[in-house]
This record gives sequence, structure tokens and C-alpha cells, in this order.
Amino acid sequence: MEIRVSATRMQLLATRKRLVMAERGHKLLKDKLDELMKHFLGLIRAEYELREEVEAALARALPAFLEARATMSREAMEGALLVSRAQSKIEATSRNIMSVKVPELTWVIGEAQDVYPYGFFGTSAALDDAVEGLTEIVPKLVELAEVEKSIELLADELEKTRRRVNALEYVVIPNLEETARYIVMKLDEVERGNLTRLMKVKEIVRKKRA
Amino acid sequence: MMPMYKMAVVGEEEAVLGFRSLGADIFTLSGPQEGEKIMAALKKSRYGVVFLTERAAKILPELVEAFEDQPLPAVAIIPGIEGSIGLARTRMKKIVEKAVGADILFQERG
Repeated sequence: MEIRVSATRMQLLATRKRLVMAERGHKLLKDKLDELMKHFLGLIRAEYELREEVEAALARALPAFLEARATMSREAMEGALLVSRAQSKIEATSRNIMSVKVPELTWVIGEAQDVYPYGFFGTSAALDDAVEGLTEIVPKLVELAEVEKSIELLADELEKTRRRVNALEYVVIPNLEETARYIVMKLDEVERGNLTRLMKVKEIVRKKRA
Repeated sequence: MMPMYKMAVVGEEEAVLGFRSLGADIFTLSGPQEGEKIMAALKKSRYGVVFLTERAAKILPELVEAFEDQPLPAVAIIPGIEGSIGLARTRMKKIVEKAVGADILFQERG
């Protein structure tokens, strides 16, 4: 690579200073990367287990609604579900993982004392069961969404940090080292040139005296 | 008072039926042309969590990615009525690969 610096002692000192800084930054970022990775892997594992659990549970709960629909008229079912007074809300706060803000979500259902949001008339027990089954799963579902979102956000930060570490390690630091070496060589060259010139001058002076 | 967000479920009629009873906002999806409408609705109000059935995620892949770099809403893919086809798994795998630069977790578990 082409090096565009003037080969002076000042430049050499500045370059060495930058090199020290880059190395320190590299070490810090690498530590950050390791720590991020640790959290990330933990989340991935948690996600894997949660998803297994949720998918199995949903595979039981969702068909229950179809069964319930089979035991009563479509209108009655839709009516029952439509008049639902329940209100699913999500409470969100945020948590800090290595300066990445990830959400913490909790499922809140309004009118909690009334799990079955409809009257008894015209609805079947199967529907009650189906609603209950789903109600049990939803907190897990919300947790799964939270974990997956955290993974997304951490993945982004991980990628950015990894890029920075690599840029420092493979581009910035080698370049600075190269520059420092170049300046040292240039300075040495000038020094040698100076020396020979001095020797020449001395010889001329001595010849004149003689 | 903590900030409150809404919950949304996007998917085919049979799968999202049950969520209606819990008072979540339901968007049923029968074709891709409704995608933009749903997307606009999701962007307009404050949703904390959006669940997307696998069938919906297939029709509307951009919905999954749209919120990826924002803290909220959290979008999660859920299996539809016919069970999981592993779409969510594939998505996680992609994210891990992007972040780590290699497939480190899933190769042995498939």
C-alpha cells in the first residue's frame, strides 16, 4: 500500500501513539465481542427450548378451537369470540445487555377475573377448554417473542462489533505498523546519507589543509 | 405506569380464531394484496408483539423483516393449524449465521 506521510520523527511518534490506541481499542472490542457472544449463545439456547415447548403446546391448543367450532354453530362461535371483553396488552420495559437495549415483555390481560369472555348460552364446554388452553400458552409465546427479538438485536450488535474488530486487526493495525516501519527506514536512510556527507566534507577539509 | 402496547396476530382464519377470544388484534390474510394494508396498520399503532403464522410469514416475508432493527414490536412466527414447518427455526439459523459468521448451533441438531 502507498504510504502518504512525511518521514519525520514527529510523524513517527504520532503513528506509534495511534498504534497503541488502536491496539487498546482492539482489545476492548474483542472483550466486548466475547461477552456479547456469551449472552447471545445463552439466548439462542433458551430460544431453542422455548420454541420446542411452545410449538408443541400450540399444536394441541389451536386444533381445540376447530373442535369447538364443530360442536356449535359458526355464528355462535364467532359471536362468542367477538363479544370478548378481554384485552390483551403487552407491558414493555427494556433491559440492557452490553449496551444493547432489549425489550422485556409481559402479557397482561384486562378483566382477568373473567377468563371466559362470553356468556354460557350457546357455547360449548369444548370452547371453554380451548380458550383455557390458549390462555396458558400465551405467556410463553410472549416470552418467546421477547427472546427472539433480543436475539435479533444482539445479532446486529455482534455483527457490527465483529466488523470493527476485524477492521482493526486486519487493516488499521497492520497499516500503522507498516507506516511506522516505513518512517523508521526513511529516517535511517537520511541518517546514513548525512553521515557519508559529513565524512566527505571532512575529507575535503583535510585535503585542503594538507 | 409502564408503557402498554397491543398484541396482534396475523394469519389464516382457523389459526387466529382463538386469539380473538383473548382480545388481541386480528388480521386475517388470504392473499398478498392485503399485506400492505396490514403492514400500515401494524406501523400505525403501538404493538408490542406481533404473532405471525407460518402461512402468513410465507406470503408476507417482508413483514417479518420490517421490524428487525427496531426494539418493538417483537415479531414471532408461530406454527399454524397444520403444525410447524420449521420456518421460525430457519429464520433463527439465518440470524445466527449473520451474527457469528458461521453455522455453529444447528448443524448437529438440524
